Amino acid sequence: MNILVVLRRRLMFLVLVIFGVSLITFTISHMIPGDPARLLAGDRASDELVAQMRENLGLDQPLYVQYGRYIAGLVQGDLGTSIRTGRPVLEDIVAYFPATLELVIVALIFSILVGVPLGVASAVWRNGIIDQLARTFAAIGISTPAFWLGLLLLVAFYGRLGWFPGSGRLDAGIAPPPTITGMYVFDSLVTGQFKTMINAIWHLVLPALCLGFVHVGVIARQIRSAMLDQLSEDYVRTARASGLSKARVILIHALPNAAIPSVTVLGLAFGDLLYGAVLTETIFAWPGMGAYVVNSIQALDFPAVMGFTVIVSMAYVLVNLAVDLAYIALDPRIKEVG
Amino acid sequence: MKHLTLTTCITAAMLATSAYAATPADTLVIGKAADPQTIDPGVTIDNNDFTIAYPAYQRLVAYDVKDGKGQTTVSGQLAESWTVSPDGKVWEFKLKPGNVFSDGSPVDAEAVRFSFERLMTLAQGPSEAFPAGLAVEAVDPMTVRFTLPDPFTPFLYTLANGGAAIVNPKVMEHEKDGDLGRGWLSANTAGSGAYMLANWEKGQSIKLVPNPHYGGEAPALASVEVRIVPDASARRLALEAGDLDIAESLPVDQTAALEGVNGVEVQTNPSLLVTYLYMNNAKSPFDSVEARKALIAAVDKDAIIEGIMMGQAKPLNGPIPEGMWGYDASIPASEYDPAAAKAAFADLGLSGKTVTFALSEQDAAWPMIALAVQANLAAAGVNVKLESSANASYRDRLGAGDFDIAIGNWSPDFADPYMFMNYWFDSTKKGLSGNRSFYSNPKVDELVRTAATTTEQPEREALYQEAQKIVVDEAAYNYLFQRSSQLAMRDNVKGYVFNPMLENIYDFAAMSKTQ
Amino acid sequence: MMAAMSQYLTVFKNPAFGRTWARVRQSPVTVTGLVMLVVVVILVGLLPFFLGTDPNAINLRARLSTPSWQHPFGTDEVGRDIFSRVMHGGRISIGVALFVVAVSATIGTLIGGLSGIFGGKVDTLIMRLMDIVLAVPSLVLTMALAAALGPSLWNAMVAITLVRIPTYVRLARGQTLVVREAGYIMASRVFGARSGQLLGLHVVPNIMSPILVQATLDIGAVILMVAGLSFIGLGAQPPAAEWGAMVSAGRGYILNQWWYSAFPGVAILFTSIAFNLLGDGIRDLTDPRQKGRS
Repeated sequence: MNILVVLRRRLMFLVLVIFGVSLITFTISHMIPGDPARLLAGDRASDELVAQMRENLGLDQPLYVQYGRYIAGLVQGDLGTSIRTGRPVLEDIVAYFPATLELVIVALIFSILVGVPLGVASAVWRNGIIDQLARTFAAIGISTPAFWLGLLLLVAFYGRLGWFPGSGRLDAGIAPPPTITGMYVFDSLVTGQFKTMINAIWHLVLPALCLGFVHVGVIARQIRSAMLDQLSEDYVRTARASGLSKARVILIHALPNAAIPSVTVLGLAFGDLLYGAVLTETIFAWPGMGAYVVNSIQALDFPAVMGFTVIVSMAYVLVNLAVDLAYIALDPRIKEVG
Repeated sequence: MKHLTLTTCITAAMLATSAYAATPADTLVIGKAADPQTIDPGVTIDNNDFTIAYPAYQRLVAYDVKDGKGQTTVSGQLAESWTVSPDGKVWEFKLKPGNVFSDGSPVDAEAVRFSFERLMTLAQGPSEAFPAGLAVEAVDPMTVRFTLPDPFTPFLYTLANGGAAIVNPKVMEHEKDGDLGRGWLSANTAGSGAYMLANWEKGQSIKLVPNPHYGGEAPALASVEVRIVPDASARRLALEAGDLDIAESLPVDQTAALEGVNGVEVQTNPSLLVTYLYMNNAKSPFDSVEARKALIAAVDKDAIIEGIMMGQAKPLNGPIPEGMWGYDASIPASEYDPAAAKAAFADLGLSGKTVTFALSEQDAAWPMIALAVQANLAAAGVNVKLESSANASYRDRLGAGDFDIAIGNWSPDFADPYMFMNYWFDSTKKGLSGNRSFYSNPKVDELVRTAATTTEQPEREALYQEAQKIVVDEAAYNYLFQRSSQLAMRDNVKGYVFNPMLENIYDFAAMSKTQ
Repeated sequence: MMAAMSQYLTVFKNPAFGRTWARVRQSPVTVTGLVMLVVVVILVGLLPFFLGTDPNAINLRARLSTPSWQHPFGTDEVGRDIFSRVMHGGRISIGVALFVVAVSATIGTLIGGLSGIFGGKVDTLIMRLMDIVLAVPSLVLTMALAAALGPSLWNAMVAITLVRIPTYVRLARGQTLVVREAGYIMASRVFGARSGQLLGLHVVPNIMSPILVQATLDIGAVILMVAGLSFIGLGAQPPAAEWGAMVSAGRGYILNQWWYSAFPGVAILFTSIAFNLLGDGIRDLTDPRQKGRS
């Protein structure tokens, strides 16, 4: 199927997703008992004051009117104003999102660097001792509660050994690089501030290790399974028979083919990593979306919760679209399904 | 081999910058549990926000410091002197000359008028402390007059509130869609305080620098950096490592463990933060005084203070805590008497019955206290069903009176017993706004209302003490304890003064560090 | 469903079962998982009945005591015995996980199976709906749902169940599409079998194996999700012992009272590893690519 047709269909789907996602989030978040105006005004505020604040925030309107207004704003790219901070939601998201994205990307890279070799070794020596060890390691990774691992890493490597910093993205006194993407490592590299870059990387080590550890197992399993598929293909045997070395066959021929279907897993991993990032961020004082969204839900800050959801869903759909397009481009046999 | 060398180099470079970077001598680094939400003094009611907002502004009056201790009395800050009309409605303030906003413009009567008008027009949480219909006028450039609709004696004390900050009228240049500069001021400062906001990396760190035009003496600290570290264990580790100079909001177990740690000092001060149980006076079974008294006798207050608060609290016997004028030392301590409680519950036909205990996890001590109360009441023959909900929902339940027992913390916004007596017992304040036990007694209503409009303090004190006797006798609440406030800091931090009215707020201008 | 169950149970009478068992024994990982699971079942399922200690009995004057003979895992911040709380808590944590996985797998399989059998517009509609649900960040969905329904263990279960369903719908539909193309389904259709019969008699038994594997692997994940929700205060309510809530409560004490969060943490880790090793092992054994051995 033509890539353009796929693209058009998927972009139309994106509109549907945003509409559906915003409706689901709006409905559920308004089911939470509680009054954001009351939270904002404080316990001691009089009922008249709270009523006036509700009116100012538009919370006195029927729900369908509120939702209609929200969608009307969304169409114009307006995510509304946060009840809690009084700032435009978009401004807050732009401030918090890059930190999470940077952490998730680095964690993903870490889990690929460890997970792929583990998966390949596991498949090549299937049922051997390496396979058993690798699978056990993967199971441990998947089973470790990220928040608990985070605390252990913090106590050991920051508290006792002092090898890595325990909180934040940069040391006190080091100014963040000029904002290009908001991701410090990238921005400081581009602007040539290598000292800042080293410091930023150094701050990333523990949180990324904590977040990525869980996904090492996920990726190792996926690669193992895809490699087993490839290794049972005829071309592998033919290549071996024609005298190519085993390592060469595995690394040059089988692995790239196994990697293609595995790419789709990355799209899903992105969503999982965002989930895990919330708990990791709390422990390592990482100023990302995690704490922001948890606090927003607790403060019944509906515009902030909606804004986060819409942006993340959009990112999720776009990442998966990019992955699928790459997949279609790489493998013409695949047709668009579901 | 080549790769190995490179790795070694990078590792060495990283280690050379050292994890234990002691903070610079002219920078104070504070570890805070949560990012401020908005630092607009006209909007926020949260002391966590006032860490930034309070020192960036000045007010007409400020709390006194005597012998290195913060007081609950006030004297003029921007105000030089003031007069009150005999009917207690008209207050006139003369301003001190020489106070300047951070952009160089002078603090005048017009700025005071603007600030209060903005506060009342925004009509957010902080405006609640001031009477609706408050009129402010600039009589001349250095004189400002407030006219109150009714006499309200605590007015002077409310002027030291965070919400009473004097804001530079130039914020209107940043006004958007008629928001009175609210969007801009939520993340910027425009005051005449010693420090001003230089930079705020959301969720991460906030930097304050001296206000170049500050009217007072130039402060010692070249900058103050507030770092957001949500996890308490992580904050403590950072303080021990010297990455922080002050670690806020450490639980009692953490501060206890910091005793004797080299270079760290824990300051413990009595606070005005009290923790108490609401017993729903408006519905069965706690609409009966006997049932309420039985509950008070059943709860082992001392065990809670020793076991849960690690002794960092003292028993509270009446509504006004020690340290606030109006405190009555003669009120006897409630007695823990499980046998009497059991007998009383049995007489009331409550044995084997179940009551609900509503709570949230807003305060880490609440679930533990709830568990202790549950065990105590079980021993007295009454079952307790714990119902924990998200804080927003919990407040809804308090407002609606949907509970038998509930728990809460209270600290005064201004230094006047009004904050306890009128809020807790006036029958018009039933529900979330203060009277959370839904207590009602016309005699008490009259006493506390008279006390609020009487101008003479000894007379007010007498009225409040009479009311206290009645409400204690009628067991309106189960007062548990008043906490000690603890703050952990490096021992080279100088000049910190605790004020029970200003938790989480620092007078940075008076602080310094020795090396 | 009955047909599916009996079909599944006949596995044990099947001579193939003997062969499978022989292979299981050759896979140390799978055996380890199985043994670990048996240990968990004994400790959590049986031991609490013989323990005299009340997991909810508080003793404020013996709070945070170090592990000892009397309290093998120490005590918590209100002096409760952590050993008996971990053992009792296991029934909650594992019970919840089993429930969530069983319900979401059953509902998901039915929806996915029907979607696959019907095909066409129904299929498109269902799959689009699932895509939308999958696109909502699961954290927001579970948190908001749990908050909306009121924080309780039951509501956390409902929220997680709803979030897990789409995974099974996708899996079941994918497998159904494969089975649908198989000759015998075509033949049944020709002979006039109805969709329900198709689902029960042919599709479900044939797609059971990957779904069971997925379910086994999921149990560990769900234990972690429940723990995560408890960690932010939306799961089990006090005084219930739940592993995640215990780790969460213990985090404030990790620097001086390591045992508080360590034992429930290890319990989560151990149980989740058991299910993961077992699921991973079963998947490998039922994997058709047996020739790949080297």
